[in-house]
Amino acid sequence: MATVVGRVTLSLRHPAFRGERLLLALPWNTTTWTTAHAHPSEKPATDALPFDPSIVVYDELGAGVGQQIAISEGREAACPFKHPSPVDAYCAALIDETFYQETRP
Amino acid sequence: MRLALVKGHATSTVKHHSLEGWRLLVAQPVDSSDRPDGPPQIVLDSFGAALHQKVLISSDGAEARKMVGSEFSPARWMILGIIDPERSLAL
Repeated sequence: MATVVGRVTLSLRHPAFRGERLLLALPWNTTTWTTAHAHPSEKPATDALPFDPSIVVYDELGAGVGQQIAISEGREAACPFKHPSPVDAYCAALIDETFYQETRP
Repeated sequence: MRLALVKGHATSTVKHHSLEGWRLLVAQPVDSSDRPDGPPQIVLDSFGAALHQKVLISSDGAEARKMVGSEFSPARWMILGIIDPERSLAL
């Protein structure tokens, strides 16, 4: 899971990158999930969510900035391409909503 | 393969065509004493795992692609099975 924070445009590019659309995204870690779904009373003062270091994600679904997306990393990120591709992070889904419950109530 | 606790789910209408119709659960990989160990993953669920249930998840995309029936699918994490709490032992 990641949050899109920007776009990346290449002036020179790897031959496999034709017509690519690249997003700058911040991957979620456990604290991101718990903070995002914390009870309003327990919400931290700053509304900034803690994220992991940003990564660049190849996108074919048209995710916008601020959108939550599900990403596929590693070898599987190159699977959707017919020709061999150096992509290692791929936007697999635009997430509408999430439900997260840390512990049983 | 990792032990993980189901912590929630995610819904998505716009997604890779191979993921259509698949339940997307949020699984938090845990260590042997159920402490979070690594970021939560969005996993494909074919067993109907319930909230807070302990499951076995795998990042082997080849099996996930077979499961969704598309060799071009970006699917990676999937639930391999549901842990039987009584008969599982963690020393």
